[in-house]
Amino acid sequence: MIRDPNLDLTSTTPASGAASKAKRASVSVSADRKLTLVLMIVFPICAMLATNSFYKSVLVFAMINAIAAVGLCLMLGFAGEISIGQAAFYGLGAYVTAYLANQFHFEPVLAIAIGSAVAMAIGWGISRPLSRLHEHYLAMATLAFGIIMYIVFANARPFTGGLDPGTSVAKFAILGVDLSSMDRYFWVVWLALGLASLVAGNVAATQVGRSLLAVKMSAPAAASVGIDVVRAKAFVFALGALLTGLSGGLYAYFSRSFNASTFGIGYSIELLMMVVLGSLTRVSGAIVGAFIITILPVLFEHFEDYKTLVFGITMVLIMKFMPSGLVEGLFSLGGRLIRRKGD
Amino acid sequence: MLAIRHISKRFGGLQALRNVNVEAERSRVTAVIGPNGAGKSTLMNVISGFIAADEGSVDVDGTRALGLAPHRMCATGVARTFQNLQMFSDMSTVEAVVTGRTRHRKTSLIANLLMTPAVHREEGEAFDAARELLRAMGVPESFWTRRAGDLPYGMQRRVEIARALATEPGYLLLDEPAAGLNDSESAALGEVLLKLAQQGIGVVLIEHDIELVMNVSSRIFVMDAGTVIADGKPAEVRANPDVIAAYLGEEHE
Amino acid sequence: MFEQVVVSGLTVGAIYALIAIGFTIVFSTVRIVNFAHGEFVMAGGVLYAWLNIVHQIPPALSIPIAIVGCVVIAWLSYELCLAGMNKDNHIAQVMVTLGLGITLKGLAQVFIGKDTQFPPPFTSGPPLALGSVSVSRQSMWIVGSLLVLIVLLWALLQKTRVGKGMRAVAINHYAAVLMGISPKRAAIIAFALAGLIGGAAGALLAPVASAHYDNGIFLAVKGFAAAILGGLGNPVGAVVGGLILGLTESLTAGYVSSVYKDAVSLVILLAILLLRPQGLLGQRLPNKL
Repeated sequence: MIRDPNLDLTSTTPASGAASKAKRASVSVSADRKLTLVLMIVFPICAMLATNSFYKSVLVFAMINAIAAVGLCLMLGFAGEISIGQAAFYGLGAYVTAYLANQFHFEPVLAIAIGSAVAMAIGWGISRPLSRLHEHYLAMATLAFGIIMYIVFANARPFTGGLDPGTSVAKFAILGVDLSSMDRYFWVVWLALGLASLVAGNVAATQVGRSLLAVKMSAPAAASVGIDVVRAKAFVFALGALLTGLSGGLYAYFSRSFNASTFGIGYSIELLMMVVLGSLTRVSGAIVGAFIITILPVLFEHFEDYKTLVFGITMVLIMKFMPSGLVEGLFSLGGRLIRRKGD
Repeated sequence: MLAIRHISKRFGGLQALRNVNVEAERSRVTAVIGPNGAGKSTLMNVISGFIAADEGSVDVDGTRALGLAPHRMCATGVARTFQNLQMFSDMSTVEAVVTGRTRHRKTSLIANLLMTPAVHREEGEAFDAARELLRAMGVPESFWTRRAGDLPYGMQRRVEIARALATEPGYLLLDEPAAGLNDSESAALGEVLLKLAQQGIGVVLIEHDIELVMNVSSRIFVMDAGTVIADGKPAEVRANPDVIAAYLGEEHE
Repeated sequence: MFEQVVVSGLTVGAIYALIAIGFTIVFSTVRIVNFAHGEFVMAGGVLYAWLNIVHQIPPALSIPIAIVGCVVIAWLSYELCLAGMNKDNHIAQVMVTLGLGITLKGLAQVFIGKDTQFPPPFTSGPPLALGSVSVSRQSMWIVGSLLVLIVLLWALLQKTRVGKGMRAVAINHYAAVLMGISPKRAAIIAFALAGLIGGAAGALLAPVASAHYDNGIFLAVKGFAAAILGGLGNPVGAVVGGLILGLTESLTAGYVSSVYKDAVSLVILLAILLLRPQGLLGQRLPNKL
């Protein structure tokens, strides 16, 4: 029942005079940020504990993948945009970076920045016409796009070196200072991951993320409250492509030498696995997922042989029973158990 | 005034709307009624920008507004609810209403990505406004942080109206808001609608609940088979033989 | 030369048509876009090769067994993964079918192996000469199977109760349910057909293009392209789309560049999705915003 018959239903200026601090209705966002902070501290600790360069490099690779996973998390978890072609942006980032560095001797940081920007532009461009379509059409289009880019990468030898001999870049340096050793490069990637997580976290915590979620949950309702659905989808695609392109550029300097086989559909599927395993809606979850997927081949010697089967079964089970992501699901399960114990 | 003129819409072989003329004034409740299949929902979707009309015009307080995308219709001051309840189920109730403040946000995208103090302030204001609206709509505080999709159906309906009100509309289009409500809930809804009209909003009500319509409307448009067959005050419409025929069917010799 | 290109285009096109038909029938009946469909095709070829090469079973037996195997796989896929899933959650649906496809590929990798195999053509013998064109016997099998299949499918959908039930479910799900048609049964039959036709396509293709655990996704996108080109949900469209796609690919390979011929179908798929998502024979899709 309406309590106060005189209450003005149309006025939305706050009844309380003082401007109040942003009261976040959902506790989970700040928990997400705390967890991300914890992870950002855990990574350097692991690096220091790592006994040899190989383990350090796995950690660095995990962080590189985490940046791309965060991008996909925003696209898939927040906006509901399924992309099975992220490897295309990964490759674009890597190849544009390598090309600028090799042909024009660009500063590595600049080359990576432009590589990311190119990936972003293409992501933005492809999403606008696709935003009108149903989810499975988008999935198909991104699948096709990813495979087309792979074919281009594999065959455009003058630009990419194709499958053989591939391409290679010089060592990573900033203004002449060599930062290419794993100890030093770790911090470069760590910084990039920190920035990416910060921006992604800000998206999650503000109306930007809320608008994306609105689009995912009900595009008509989102439009009815003034959200430009096409623009929202284009934005998240651009951001996802940017982050994935950034990963690609960092990967180029990480591996120093690579060929097109890295950028096939296998990587797109792995990225999906990272988000599905971690969390579709928490940035920290995506980072955890990336970490797990990256270290699995290291932990299990014959993992490569069973990887596909394990991935497939895991994806089916998680999407059927814990569709917000495994880590996310476990967290909320844990949360419920703790609350019940406290009663 | 919300002036809908000469709207026609055809879907393949079906003429869903033919030369429909409807007017809704501010501070009044205007109803559109008619048997199933009359085209009421199609009309609603045309006005709010979800379907493009073949012909005709929509004027909002003198500004031409036909053919605008839904989010732009919102900017002209037209808000709506949905027949099949389009709720942001996985958000908290307050957050779901906060989305309605989108139209009035001043902070830029960049500012949000950097989470400047202005953004924090604006978020605070938006949440305060949302809470006020929920209070005014009679949604108990205990529901505010719960998942919107978990609320009882009647409550979700109110939350949807609160969300639409958050856009500070000049006109509120309600698509069968009383569906699934019992008599007392319907009566409460009627009070809300009258209150909104008192505060200056032009309420446009598409409804099947004739009693509700008769109680709150100043003007009723009756549609059948895609056209308006009658329009006038409740008493006039109730006695109109064409209206009776449309609902009950003609007598056959 | 031109005639040869056309013949090979029609042959490839027939394969694409076969892949597309199964995919499109599942969509029209159950409204599921099955991203694992390519793996049914892969399974047809891989099972045929495995039975024939590893277990020395002659083609006359190993081909039918392989196809039946695919039917079983398709049926289990539906029962275990998709039955009872919320139809409206498209994201989960896409991800589950993707995961299913990856699982099937993984099963092939683990239990059958990573070798590329070339099982024998269905009948042996030299190619036939039709005028200036040389047509391999396997090509005759491929095109012939498509023709036979079209006739059988037409008969099934138009003349039998089961087929009419499936068409009813495709046109109006709710009304069909009210009329007593079991949508679950229609779904199972649709999936079984997808397994049957897809598996047959894989077995037909294997002697020509090899059987390999990894080629599911490539075949799938070609099938998607054909189905969407023709209009998703429309079996006639699937055939038309498949043939057009095959001819385009063959012409590209013959006159433009054989390296980029695979990209052609993908570009067509992308273009159709961007410009005319309902395809050639489909209806205009509702504007979703």
